[in-house]
Amino acid sequence: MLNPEAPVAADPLDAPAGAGSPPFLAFQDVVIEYGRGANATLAVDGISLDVADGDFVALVGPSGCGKSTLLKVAAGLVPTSSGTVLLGGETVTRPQKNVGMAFQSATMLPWRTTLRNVLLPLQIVRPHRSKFRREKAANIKKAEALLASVGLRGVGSKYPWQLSGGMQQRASLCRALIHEPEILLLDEPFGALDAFTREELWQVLQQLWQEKKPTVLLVTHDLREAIYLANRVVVMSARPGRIVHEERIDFPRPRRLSMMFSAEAGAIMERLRGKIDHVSLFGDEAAAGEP
Amino acid sequence: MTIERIRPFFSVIFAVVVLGLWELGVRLFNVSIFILPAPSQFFGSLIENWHGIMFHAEQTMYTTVIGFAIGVTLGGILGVAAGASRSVYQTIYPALVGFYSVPKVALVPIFVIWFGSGTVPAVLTSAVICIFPVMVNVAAGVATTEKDLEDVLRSLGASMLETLWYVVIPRSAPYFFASLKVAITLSFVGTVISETVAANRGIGTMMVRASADFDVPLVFAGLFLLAAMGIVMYAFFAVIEGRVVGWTKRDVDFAT
Ligand SMILES: Nc1ncnc2c1ncn2[C@@H]1O[C@H](COP(=O)(O)OP(=O)(O)O)[C@@H](O)[C@H]1O
Ligand SMILES: [Mg+2]
Repeated sequence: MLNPEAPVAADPLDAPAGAGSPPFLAFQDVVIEYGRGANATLAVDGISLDVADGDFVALVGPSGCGKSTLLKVAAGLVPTSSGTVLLGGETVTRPQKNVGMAFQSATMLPWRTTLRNVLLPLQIVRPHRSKFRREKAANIKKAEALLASVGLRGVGSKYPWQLSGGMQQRASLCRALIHEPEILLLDEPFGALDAFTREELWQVLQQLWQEKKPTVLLVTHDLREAIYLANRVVVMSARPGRIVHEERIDFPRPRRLSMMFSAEAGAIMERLRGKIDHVSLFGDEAAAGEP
Repeated sequence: MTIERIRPFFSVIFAVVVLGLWELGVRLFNVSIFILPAPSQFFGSLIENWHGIMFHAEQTMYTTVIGFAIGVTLGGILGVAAGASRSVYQTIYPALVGFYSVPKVALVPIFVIWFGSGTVPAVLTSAVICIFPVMVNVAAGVATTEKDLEDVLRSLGASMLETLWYVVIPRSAPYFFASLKVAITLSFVGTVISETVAANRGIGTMMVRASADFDVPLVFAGLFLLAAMGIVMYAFFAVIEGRVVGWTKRDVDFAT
């Protein structure tokens, strides 16, 4: 019988994307276990992944495989059980200031207007916080420009509950970007949106990335999203999550939605889907086979 | 004229109708003034003794507000601590439940032994009576704060205190303000209890003396005034609540 570890292709994983420069974000043999003793859950089991500075990596995998967990570890919100995460060369042990995060739900603070939600990081993150009051006018202008860039012109004074889900998700993207983080950790930011809004926001995100070139780690369960946006697509196995495949996406940018209909994109999609199906089959088999 | 227009006045109409029926009943059945004075009689007493009553009312108001402020502060702090930390909750909760189960009137003699009669025991009684409801509410608000919202702050590198300030406290504010309306009315109860036992000034004292003098209309005037003060303070905190935590109402009018 095949060894479940076999699909882990050593080659593409060991060569970091921006070969030569050290990776900006590096997971090294990361294991994460929730809880202790009898009801412990092994969420992630031995993940190693390098993300080069300015790269755009998408992480796909079946639900519950530990994608959100991995992002939370990178953000310093959850500790590793073993292994290390390096960000800019330093071990992540707690939240870092140069990180922008967007969560699976929009997580707007309901008592703050949209504008004040977007401004929040500037009130907290050093060095912005010390000059938040002094530069209030400039900050507001910046937040409004950012809101306008995601199609939310003039809604700054509205409360989150007055916005649709898609609008809230856009605003949460602005909040992740306002302090100009070097790295963006995005957890299925478009998961809850309708197809049209989602595709529109893909374009918005691509444009933002092309302008500012932050490092992006995007978690998604949508293969089309991963292929459209990312330079690299990393596939995880069912829980406990391991990396089982990686795919380079070399389409020129800016990418168009029509690109998704090309034979090449179709082939990549096929391959990825095959890996994921493969993975879940293995998962089921392993689970059934074990005493 | 729609019913919506007069709806705000329903409560006033209701009060007037009740007082009217009361007046009518007393006159119709010729009830003795020593048992149940008619509204006209105790309103008369209220106007007649206005200055004397205000002397006592001032004291009651002042005592209540100070006691309320102390109680709410303590209740708020305890509530945040108990809501944020499981061990704090498990440590202090049983003791507080026990303490709250003791009738507050039983505490007054102890306060009098410690501080003498007068304002201090009244302030303390008024304070201890409102600690608990504030604490329970605030603890509920803190404990139900969504972890995701805290993560938003934590991911930005916010300290525990900042997370408390930017997320936990605003998130618990609706619970806090809801408890204030209950707490202020309880505070009046605490003050008056203490005043009836050990004080020489305050509405409680005035009512005890009036009943010793068989001045029943004055007793009822005192009751009426207490009710009025309670309503005013309740309304005051309801307005503040609407201003501060209007976002919970999700009423489109509020935002703009
Ligand atoms: N706070 C937690 N406590 C215990 N188990 C958790 C916690 N968060 C996630 N898990 C478990 O870890 C696994 C991975 O979860 P998650 O990272 O959210 O997966 P994904 O985002 O890929 O769907 C799941 O089995 C989930 O039940
Ligand atoms: Mg997830």
